[in-house]
Amino acid sequence: MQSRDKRIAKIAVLFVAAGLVISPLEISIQSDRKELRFGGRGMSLKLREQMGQGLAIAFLGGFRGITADLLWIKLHHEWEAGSEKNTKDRWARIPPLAEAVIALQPQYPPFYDLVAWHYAYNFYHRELYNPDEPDPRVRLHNARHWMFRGETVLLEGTRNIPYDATLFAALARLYDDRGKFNDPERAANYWELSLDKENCPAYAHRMVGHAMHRAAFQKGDPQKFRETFDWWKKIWFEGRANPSEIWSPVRRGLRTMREFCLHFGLLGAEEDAALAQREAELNVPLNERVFTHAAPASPSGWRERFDVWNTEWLAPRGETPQLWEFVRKKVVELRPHVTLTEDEEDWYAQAEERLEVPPHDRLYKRKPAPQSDPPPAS
Amino acid sequence: MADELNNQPQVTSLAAVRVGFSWARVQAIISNTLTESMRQKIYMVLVLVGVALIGGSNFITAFEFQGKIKAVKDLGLGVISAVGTLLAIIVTAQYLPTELERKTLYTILSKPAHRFEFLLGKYLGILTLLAVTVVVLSVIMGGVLLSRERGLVEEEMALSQQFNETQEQREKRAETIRGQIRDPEMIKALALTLAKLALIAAIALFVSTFSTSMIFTVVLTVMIFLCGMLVGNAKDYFSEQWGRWVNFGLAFIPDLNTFNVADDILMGRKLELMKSLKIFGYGLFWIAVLLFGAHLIFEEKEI
Repeated sequence: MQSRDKRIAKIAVLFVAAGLVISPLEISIQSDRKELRFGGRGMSLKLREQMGQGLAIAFLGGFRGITADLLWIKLHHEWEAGSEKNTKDRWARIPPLAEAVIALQPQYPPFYDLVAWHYAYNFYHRELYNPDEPDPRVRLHNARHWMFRGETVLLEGTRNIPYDATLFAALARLYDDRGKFNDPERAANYWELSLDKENCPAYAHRMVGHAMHRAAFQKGDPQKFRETFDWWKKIWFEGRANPSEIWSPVRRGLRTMREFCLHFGLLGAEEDAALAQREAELNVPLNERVFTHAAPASPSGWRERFDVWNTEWLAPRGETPQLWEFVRKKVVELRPHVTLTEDEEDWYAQAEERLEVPPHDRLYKRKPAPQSDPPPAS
Repeated sequence: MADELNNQPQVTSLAAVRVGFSWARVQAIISNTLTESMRQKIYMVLVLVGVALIGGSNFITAFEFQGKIKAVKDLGLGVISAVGTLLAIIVTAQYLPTELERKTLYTILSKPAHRFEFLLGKYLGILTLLAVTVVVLSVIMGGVLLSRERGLVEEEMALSQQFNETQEQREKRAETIRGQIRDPEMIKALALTLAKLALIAAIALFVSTFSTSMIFTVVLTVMIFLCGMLVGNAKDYFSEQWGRWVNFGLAFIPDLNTFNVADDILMGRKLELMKSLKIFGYGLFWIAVLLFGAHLIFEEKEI
């Protein structure tokens, strides 16, 4: 063997041996990366087509972050251009770009959040009011397709980033939206899932209560009222140590649920008294207490109580007539204690009309239309 | 007669003297390489482009209405990595062919200096150059980020005021911004980027020991670099198709993707010290192998 061949053989042996020696460490590093969910999806033909040549080279050079940022800017530009001209072809470029961006950096929550918002809100709206489609059923069908695509993006995000609350909260908002899924029960579940995660919004625990509250009304299931009552109660008593807690929504939620629970027999007098005692022990200011039978002392107290029940009365209603009878009774009971302006009453009457409340059940009257001048005599 | 000859003092040629390894000689080569590299036009151009891009990264945020800090960091780290990679390949690739062409190599090797000392000195000189470049560009990126800090905190405060948030919540918002800007994990990301650059420089040095021209060295190193970036994907693909054992067939190519943790660190992920040390260990191992390989070739190379 010549000396040159010997040298080549030596080098070849060196590299093969080095590769074999280092393999266990390499495998261990790769498993660390998988465990930490580092790196995005690998290169594929589809991804290459979505990127374009220049960005594919940048990606191969290891510049995943910049590639994703540039595609993201391009996506944003397509959205703006499509919004301005209201042309479908520009927005049609968004989904492949969105897929590429998410594939490149699947660990970045804002990508999922914004893409889902485009699908479930912007695309949804565009399809729902598409002037080129005369059939409203087809329009709704097309719009709902994008709503479900938005949900799919967020669900994929929650699977890829299970430690961050952002996408759980976004999903909860989408489920809670009356114009979209209108599923407050699932919304409550997702708000609750977001609670122990990073970047959880400071209001998430209250959102659980609001969503449970709406779910209880929607289902009309007494047990749901009790569960919601327990949730608000937990915040009311255990959250006392939290100086940044905003108490008015908690108080309103708890007060409503308490009255429902008392009405449906889900809260006994003894338990109610015990809770009143606990409130006193915690030195909750008298005018803010929930578990007291005394009437609110101030006009604002009456107004707050009235607003709580009036909001329920004017909310979209479920299929439980006895629930609405009870809500109506509470509004009628509180109405004499508050003074409504003519405009307010007109506004509430309009809401009743929109909700198609039967005329004999209506509580408000429309403002009389202003008298128009008689037409001049010809 | 024979005794007389034996008793005469031995006259040995200078070439036959076995000179031991000298760190001082290596240091001299390091400082010479560093000075020479810094004077090169290509170095100045690349660094100036890097400075301009990082300095201008603030403008990219005008196109982003989300993730403004992320865009600055992405661009900053991307530029550091790109400039460093180009430097590692181009500067390293030109040394041996240029030294041979100018015949300066003969002067150095006849000093006497070991060929290994020469290789090590050159490599460490380039490594120092890369480290200086990474530090300079990182400081500029840090400056750009800090200059954004105040504006971003003010934007958050305005938003917080809009939502009627408490003082504590406002402070939390400001703290989040500051935390993203002054993230100590960035140091790990930069250190691992430097480790990747050191490995690329070692690959270029290894290639340059058997190549005859700078162009060949650059092209081959770029190819190995791309293979290194894609070898992880290939291993995933092959192991899905034929099982994990196939990966041993690709084990001789260093997986450069291993060092790409910056993107994930920028998104707030944490990399434990032990796990980063493993990656450093992996890099050091391959650098040692490549330098040893370069030594084996260069030692027997006919100059």
